[in-house]
Amino acid sequence: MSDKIFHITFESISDFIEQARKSMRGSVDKKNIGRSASFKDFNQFMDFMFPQKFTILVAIKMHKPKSLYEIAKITNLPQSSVLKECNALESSGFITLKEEGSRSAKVPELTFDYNEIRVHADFGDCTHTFPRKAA
Amino acid sequence: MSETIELFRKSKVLSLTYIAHMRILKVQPSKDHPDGFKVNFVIVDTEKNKPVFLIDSHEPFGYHFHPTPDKDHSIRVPLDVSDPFEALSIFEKKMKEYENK
Repeated sequence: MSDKIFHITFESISDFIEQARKSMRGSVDKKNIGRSASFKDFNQFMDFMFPQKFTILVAIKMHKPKSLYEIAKITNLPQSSVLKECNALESSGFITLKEEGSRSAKVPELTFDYNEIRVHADFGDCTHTFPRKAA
Repeated sequence: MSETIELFRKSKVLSLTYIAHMRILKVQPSKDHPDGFKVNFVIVDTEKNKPVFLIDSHEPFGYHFHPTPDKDHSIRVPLDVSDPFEALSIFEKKMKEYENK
């Protein structure tokens, strides 16, 4: 189950760089290989993620849309907002945008098939589990 | 037989506009990567969806940065560093700069 978790961690830039240094010295943390994103603090995470990016992330997990247009339809968000938010979600490691088809449509996918987002806050861990899609 | 091991791949949100992404691979020491590390450190402007600063390493350039990676990727500025740890320190300073932009 542990490999189905995307981790949110909070640290300063210096501490983030220290993690990279440690990995080069041989102390590799699997969490730091495409399975987490780092923020300065909880407020920055909330400002970044809510409401639109989180809504889009849930739509991607639940509906597996084949295009950004589909996400716009599902979420009732303007397509321009969906593109912008998806680009930021990709840069921050939550999703990948694969170009497919003759028109190179961008197909959003979770970076890996995670079921949970675990927030490692200083007041304790909290987990969001994606609901299972109804059959 | 060459073996590549991924050591680090993680993003750090610097602000609502800028995100840093770092990837570090351990590779077989070669002409391209004599120290056995292949790095890619990038800062992305999420408003424009374009990279604004990029450090990487490969021969014949060694460690270098691209000051305008979105406009002209062929512009490279050599970094006066002797190992990847120093390159990390330079990227750390750049991240702090963009955190406050």
